[in-house]
Amino acid sequence: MQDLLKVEGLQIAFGTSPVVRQVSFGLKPGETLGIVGESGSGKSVTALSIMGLLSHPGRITAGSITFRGQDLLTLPEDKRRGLRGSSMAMIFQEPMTCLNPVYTVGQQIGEVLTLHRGMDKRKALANAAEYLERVGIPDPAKRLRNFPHELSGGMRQRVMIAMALAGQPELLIADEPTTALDVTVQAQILDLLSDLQKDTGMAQLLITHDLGLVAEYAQRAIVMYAGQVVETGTVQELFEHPAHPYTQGLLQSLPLWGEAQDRLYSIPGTVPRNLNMEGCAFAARCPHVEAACHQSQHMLPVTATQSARCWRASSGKAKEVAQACQ
Amino acid sequence: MLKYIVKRVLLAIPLILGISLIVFGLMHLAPGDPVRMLAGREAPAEVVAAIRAEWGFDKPFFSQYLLWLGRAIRLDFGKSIATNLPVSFLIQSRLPYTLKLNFWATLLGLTIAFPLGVMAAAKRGTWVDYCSSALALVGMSMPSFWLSMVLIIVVSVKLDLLPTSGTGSWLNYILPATALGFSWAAGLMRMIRTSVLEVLKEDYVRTARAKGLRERAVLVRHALRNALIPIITVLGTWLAFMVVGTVIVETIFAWPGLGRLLTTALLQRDFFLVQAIILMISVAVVAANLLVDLMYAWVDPRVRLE
Amino acid sequence: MKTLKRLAHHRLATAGAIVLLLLSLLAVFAPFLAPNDPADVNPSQGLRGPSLQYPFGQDALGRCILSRMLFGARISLTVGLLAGVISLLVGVVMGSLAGYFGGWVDLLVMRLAEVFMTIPQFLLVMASVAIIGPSFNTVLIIIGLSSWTGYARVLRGEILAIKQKPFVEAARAYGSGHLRLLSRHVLPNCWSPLIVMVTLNVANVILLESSLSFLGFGIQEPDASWGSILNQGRTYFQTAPHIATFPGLAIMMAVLAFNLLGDGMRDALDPKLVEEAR
Repeated sequence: MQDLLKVEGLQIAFGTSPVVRQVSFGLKPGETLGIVGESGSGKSVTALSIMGLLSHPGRITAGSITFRGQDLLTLPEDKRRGLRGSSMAMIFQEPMTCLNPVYTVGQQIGEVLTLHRGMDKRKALANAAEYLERVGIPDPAKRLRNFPHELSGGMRQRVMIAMALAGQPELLIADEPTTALDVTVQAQILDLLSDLQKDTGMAQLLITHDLGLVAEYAQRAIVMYAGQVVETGTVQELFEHPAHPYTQGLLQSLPLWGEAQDRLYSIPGTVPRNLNMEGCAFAARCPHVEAACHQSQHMLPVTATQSARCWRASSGKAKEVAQACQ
Repeated sequence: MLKYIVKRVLLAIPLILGISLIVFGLMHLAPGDPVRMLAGREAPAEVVAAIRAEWGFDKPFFSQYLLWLGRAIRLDFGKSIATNLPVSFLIQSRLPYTLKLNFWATLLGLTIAFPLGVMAAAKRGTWVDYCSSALALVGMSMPSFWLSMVLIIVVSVKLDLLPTSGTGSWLNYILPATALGFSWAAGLMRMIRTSVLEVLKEDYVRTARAKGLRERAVLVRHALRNALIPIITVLGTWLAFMVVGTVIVETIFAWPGLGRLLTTALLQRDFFLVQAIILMISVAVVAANLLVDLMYAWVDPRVRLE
Repeated sequence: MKTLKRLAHHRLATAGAIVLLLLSLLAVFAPFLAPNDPADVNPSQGLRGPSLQYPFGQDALGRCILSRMLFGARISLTVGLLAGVISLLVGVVMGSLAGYFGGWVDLLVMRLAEVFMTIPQFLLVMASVAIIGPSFNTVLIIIGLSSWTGYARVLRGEILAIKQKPFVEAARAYGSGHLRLLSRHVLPNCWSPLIVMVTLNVANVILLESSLSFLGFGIQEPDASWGSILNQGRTYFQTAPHIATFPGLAIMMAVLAFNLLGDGMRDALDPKLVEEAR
């Protein structure tokens, strides 16, 4: 099957300093791909660049983004805008601030319907109620007239999802959709997203720092570190035999990994600020660092579907390392 | 919503009382007898005595104030010493000119400030931004009397395009309204730029873009509507700001409005008239602020709930 | 130091500071710089335009406008600065009273502030000066006494915020007196918004004084401020525009310079400060 979305060799810089380097991945229709990484790993910036929402001083310096076979980066802005909110939609991390405080929920959902589906205002409002119902908001007719500040965080995120759905997207980008929400609400929202995906057949890009969520809701995932993809594979592969020491570290820091632990593992150090370095970006924090790590690293295949940006990945040492970690 | 309005109106009452107390107290700033001042320097003794009796100046300060306030509420501010006409009549005959001038100046100010302020914010860091910001700074720093003089010299005297005085035709309004509206527009423009810039950083603006709205719609429907909230607060100072300009511009353009009435009254030491004009304008400012509060509730749904 | 450095990087603020420095130097050294005696009356040469001996021309009485402006700079700038300082002092006292003691003191002060903010300052000042009798001192004091509200509001807010903080509690527990607490713990924390406000306020006061003098309610003959020179020019400005042109430009330059400096300081000290000072 052909990829719905294909990102190749994407490079993004803020001014002159690079924040995303050589990011490549593909997404098939109906599939959910997780993008995992710490804050500052470049995952949100990647998502914004797909939507064409990168704001100054961020700009794409190299690479291509192809959506339904169209090169988005050479598409005129007017056509690109036509895709936004209809063919591709995005929901964000902060439902509290993402809705416009001076318009009602109905007006904000209706706006998408009038814009992309040519409805008049009356019809749009009636239709908006249907979408509210689909995202599980009770008493939708009444909620339409509510302002965002009258709703809870979870409700607002549902409204955001309804707004995204209203454009009937083929691709939904969810950037940390539950990070700002209560734990109990998190699961509800993610379950809703996966149910909706089954109904509509849209593809999803689930961006999160939580590997656990990816395990549950995605089929494949890419792990990003310091603006680079360090590992990619099916969720099963990543969990069973992670090839990159960073992925291994992330797994170890998950509470469900292993049995009763006195304390959770945490990767020492922080993401480097300067990304202009030679060699592996993770070297400074890696427990297995060797001389070879300081030369530039390439994505090396581990299996047919898994690859990692670590020289050990294909030399069979990956498995040893993985076992050593457990 | 109704509760909010009622609360605002009730809060305005002590404010107006405070204002009236200060305005009345002003007369007691005079060195010596306030009655002599109110009556005029050359007034004969019996006139002074009559005024003293009529306004209760032989009684304690507070009873004087209550007597004056009681008449002021009924719009009875006494008689102008210089013209011997009732103060309220004088004000009534001048008010329309001032209102008309202020209306056009405000309209002019808004039509300059909004487009330029919003454009400067949207095109931040471009020449549009720099030019309008420079214009705003100059406008804010230029004394209105000087702007009036320059306008008269250049437009009326040198180019002979527009009349310098008179009120008959709409041509007469152009220069004074420009002189009055421009510096207000300058301050407003800066404020609009700042608050639109602030709003453009908000997450919901990104949401609006993610919906695929045209940049123009993002700017006007989503950014400007929210930016209006702080802008409206500044509009509250509009009347207070216009008052200064009105006094000066009316004096230079010989405009028969309240501002010129006030300067003449002050020069002729016609203090019954001065009291009344200041009180009236201050109460108008209170009313303008009330109006702003109501607009606030209209623009920001979060206020309506309180 | 850091703030000063940031301020120096602000090109417009630096330009403002330089202009102000130049204007102050001109004012201080007026007696040496003035080409003529500012009081030297020469009625037969009234209203003559700029010449070599009188670079900015002569007024109706034939006096040298440049010389009058140089001496006028002293008055215009002094009124601006002193009235700014007076209003700051009044504002600090009022704001401290309100914020520190709270309760009915707070209520009274803030109501008073509201009254003062509602009566247009220009009218209040104009009427008071006319009633008391215009002079340099009256103008200075009345303007100073009537523009304290902005400071008081900011200071009160800061004090209310700081009062919550533990170190103030601690200082009080150790028996620090009111004044000491205020001067050692509260004021140092909020001088930066105040200093921005003073700068913008001085710009405002200069405009206010010049408008007042222009209308004839401010500085009186034989003294001159830029505004009062314009007042005289008012009668003749259609035939002798030079009388009005130069003092007007001087006022604009001074006000613009204070505005630029104030803006720059706002950016350097506290980018979040609202436009309260104007």
